[in-house]
Amino acid sequence: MNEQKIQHIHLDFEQEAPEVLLGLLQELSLEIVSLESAQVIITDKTLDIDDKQVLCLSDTIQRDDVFKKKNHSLMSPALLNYSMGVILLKRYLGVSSSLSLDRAGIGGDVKNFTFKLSDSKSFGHYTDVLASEAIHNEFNSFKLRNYFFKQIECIEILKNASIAMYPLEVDFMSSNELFIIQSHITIQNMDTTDIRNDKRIGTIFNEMMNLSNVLDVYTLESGSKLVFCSIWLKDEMAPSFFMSQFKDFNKLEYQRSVGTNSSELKFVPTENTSENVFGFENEKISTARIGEKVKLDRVAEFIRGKKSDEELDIMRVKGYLEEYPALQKVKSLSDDDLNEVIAFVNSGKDSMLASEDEIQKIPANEVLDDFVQKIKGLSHDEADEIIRVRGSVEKPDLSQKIRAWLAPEESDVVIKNSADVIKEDVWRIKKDDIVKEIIDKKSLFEGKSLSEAKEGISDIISLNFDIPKSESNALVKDLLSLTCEEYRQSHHDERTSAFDNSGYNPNLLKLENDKLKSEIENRNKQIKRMRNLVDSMRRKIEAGTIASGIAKEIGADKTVNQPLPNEVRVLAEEVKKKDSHIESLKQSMSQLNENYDEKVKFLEEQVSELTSKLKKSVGDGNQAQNESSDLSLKLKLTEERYEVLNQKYETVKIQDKEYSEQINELRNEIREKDQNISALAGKLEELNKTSPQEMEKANNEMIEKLKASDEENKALELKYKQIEQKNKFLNGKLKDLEKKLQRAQGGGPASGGGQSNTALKQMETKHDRMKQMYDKVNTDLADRKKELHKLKTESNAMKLRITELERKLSKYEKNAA
Amino acid sequence: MNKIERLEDLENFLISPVNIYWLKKSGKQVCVLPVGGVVDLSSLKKYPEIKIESFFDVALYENFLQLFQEFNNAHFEKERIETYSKFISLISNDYWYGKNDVSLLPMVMACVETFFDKGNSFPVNLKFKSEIIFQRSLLLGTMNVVYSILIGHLSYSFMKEAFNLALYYEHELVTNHLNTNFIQELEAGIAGKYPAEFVEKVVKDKVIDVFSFPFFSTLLKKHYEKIDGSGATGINGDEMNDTERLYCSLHHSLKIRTPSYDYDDGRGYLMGLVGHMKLDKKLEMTIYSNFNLQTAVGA
Repeated sequence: MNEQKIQHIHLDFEQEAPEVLLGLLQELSLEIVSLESAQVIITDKTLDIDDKQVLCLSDTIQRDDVFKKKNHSLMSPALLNYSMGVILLKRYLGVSSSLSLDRAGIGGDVKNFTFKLSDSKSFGHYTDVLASEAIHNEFNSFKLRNYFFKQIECIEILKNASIAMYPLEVDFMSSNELFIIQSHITIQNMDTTDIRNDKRIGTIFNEMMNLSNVLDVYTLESGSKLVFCSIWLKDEMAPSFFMSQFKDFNKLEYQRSVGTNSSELKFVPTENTSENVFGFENEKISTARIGEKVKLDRVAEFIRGKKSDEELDIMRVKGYLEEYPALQKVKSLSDDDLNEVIAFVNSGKDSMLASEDEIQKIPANEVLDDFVQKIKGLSHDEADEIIRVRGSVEKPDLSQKIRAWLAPEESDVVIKNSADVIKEDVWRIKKDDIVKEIIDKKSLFEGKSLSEAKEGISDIISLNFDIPKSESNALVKDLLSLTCEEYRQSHHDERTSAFDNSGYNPNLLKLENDKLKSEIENRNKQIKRMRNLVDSMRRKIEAGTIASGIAKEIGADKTVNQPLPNEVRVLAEEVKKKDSHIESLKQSMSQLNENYDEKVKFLEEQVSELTSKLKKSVGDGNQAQNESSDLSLKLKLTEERYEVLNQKYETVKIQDKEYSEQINELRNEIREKDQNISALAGKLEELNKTSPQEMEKANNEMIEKLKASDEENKALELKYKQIEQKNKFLNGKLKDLEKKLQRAQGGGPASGGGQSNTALKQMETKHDRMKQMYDKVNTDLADRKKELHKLKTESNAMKLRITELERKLSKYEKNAA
Repeated sequence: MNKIERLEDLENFLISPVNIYWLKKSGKQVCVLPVGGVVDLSSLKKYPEIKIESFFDVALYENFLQLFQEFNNAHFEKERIETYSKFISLISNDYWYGKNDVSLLPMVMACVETFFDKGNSFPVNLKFKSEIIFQRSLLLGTMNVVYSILIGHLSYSFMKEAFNLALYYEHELVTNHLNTNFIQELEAGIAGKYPAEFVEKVVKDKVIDVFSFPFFSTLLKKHYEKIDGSGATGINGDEMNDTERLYCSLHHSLKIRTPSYDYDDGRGYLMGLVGHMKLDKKLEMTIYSNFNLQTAVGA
């Protein structure tokens, strides 16, 4: 994740370069290179270069001359004496930085303040705030005010051109030495060259530079930000300005400042790494981790080859690794891994893996099968990587041959059956040949040690691949060390001495480190929990003591068991405070009283002495007169003191009275509160007593109502049945009559036709009436049914409520108990 | 706000301040609209008998409304700062220090009532697309507003945009018909899982001209970022300003789930959320010091 970029610096000084600068460059491990390959040029004169960043480190060059030139910045050498100046220079040179002032390293014990402007309307208010702060710290508030005004003007222009977007975030810091304002705003499609090119903005910038000691302006492409950072200093200094654009900040690991820093836990001293101390005997390291270890070993060897006299750090190692043969592989290495490699290279040991002596001890036939598997799994890229790293050969024969095999049509190297086999398969066939030969010759290696067998294997490989012996040796050495490491791990329980011999085992350290980290986290959590517990316990104890104290003071015994309300507690605390105050006052009063008596006695004695002296010295002439005048003065003074003391005594008395009144009031209040509490408790009890009875009453009433409605319903049902029966009876009658009518009509329509007609009509009217009655009763019944349903649902709801209330009641009873 | 006694009283509400139960014939009660749920009167009217249950703190809700109005009516920064200190004292005891039980609902309802852009069709579409995301967006919008105030954004129009910003985060859901899984994976920082051009496209598509502050359009693109640099395009906290850091952290801290507003869910909520957000020291201190100052003045 960390992408530290190395800036190449070129120094072009007519005079000697300042020592502070050289020290800084050394500290940052920045490479000093020739003019052509440099990215940044630091000089003490102006240069005619516009495709590189140029920093003029001088206090004699005119600012305007530098400002006109593209990519030029100006810095006063005196600024290097300020930590703030060094930070600005570091940022200019591309060292990790942040928009946040505290994370950028600016700060410390200074006053800071942040505000946000959503538009330019309210900037006047904050200009006043800044100006007043400047006045307070004895800076030129007029300059500062004007500067801020110019800055807003510039931002408004950019905003109107749809480049800048509010809000503007402003941080300021002030101390006795310096005053910093950093503001940043979101922008689009802009960089600092536009500032120089635009005439209007250019003039505003000129004015801004006039108004401040240092002005650092930069754009940040990744975050789309335009940043102004300006500094005012109390000391006189030549002007400085920086103008730069960054694609992004070199990324610092963004972690909160709270908590443990993982890098501090990274390396456990090697002296302590005995397995008995940590109890890691049973920790099995997986083959994946061994593979990782072999990879690290290769990287370490590569770095050792590249290493110059300078001290290694992550940035430098990353630079070296740019040339690593298998770049993709090392890209996945984390900083932890690189730290491990650096520590190993610095330790001066030969190999992270099994040493020659150990290989000597391992019998060849035991690991030969594993070794064969290794060869089978070997890719041509890896073989290339191994030979380049281990054999220190820039262009090994093998890799050239591999390339030839992979593109047979372009090569003139003759390969068996090359017409049938293409690309990768060629490599596989070659490997298979080697494997076959090794297996065939396995019987020869029996009884021999691995280092003896190494020679034979190397011969086979060099013959088959047709490569020099040095390359095949490197290949065999690497693959054997891998197999040996696995063998060693598999025999770990029996051969723990191997671990002791190696002394440094980064895998175990890593595991152990992880374990420790997790333990620390767990412990931290435990501590937090314990702290919370202790706090709560403390609070409980405090509350308890206060409550018991009040109970004793008031003499009320009923409230002790109940938790006191907050107000009472607060009042009690106040009373305590007042009491202590009064006690102290009383003490001072008594002291005053004592002193008063003593002083009065002393004064009386003095007066008597003086009078006696006066009497004696009546005849002593002028001297005596002088003495007497002095004494009278002293007397006067003592009398005045006495008066003052008297006044004090009276005021204290008055205060005492006031305090006692206050105490009385507070006590009354407490009593009132207490009464309130008791009243509330009484109410609660009443509620406990009364509420269930009332509920029962209401319940009974409801049940009675329900019963009554049930009875009504039953009566109505009976009525309905009666009416139905009547209806049926009438219907039957009607049918009989109709039959009779039909018969009458069929027998002789002329005779008795008039009578039957009237009877029929009567019957019809009767039938109609009956029908109406029937309908009425039906509707009535439906209504009653609805009512009944409603009442039933209500009764259900009531039952639920009753059960709820019963539960509540039981709760109350429990509480009361 | 009038007391809610009938369904019709809910007509002007986007989310419900009350629980609504359907009273079944068997006497059982079934909750058909929980507190904070999106109000849909037509579906509620289908139930023959309903019961309304409310524990909504009307006074607190009205206090919030009044303060937002004061922010709106303020002409000078001084007035805004005065309102700001009133706002801090309103939320300090319960929402920050957690001294009493308090619900988040009055705060959310007041923000919805004040800042929700009813005239825009997009939020309505989101509501129909996913109610859960819609509800979560309302809560996130509220948090955007509250924390913006806490870090010093006192302009009313800024607050309004900050609230509506959260609704547009899920723009792809509605317009590109992407699924939630994709968005969650993108936000979990698995940018490598998708081709860079695709991620770029999703981010680029988010150019929405509804904001009067163009800054918010850039925030729509940036809200996939994480302050530790493990976000979609790998910008880290050092390259963001306070506001961006705050909104990105807020977005990643509030998981996609239905906010279940309870009578005490707001107790100490704001302080807890600051802990969750894992902001940088400076921003955290800015927020903390606001409340510390308040208590110092109060004491």
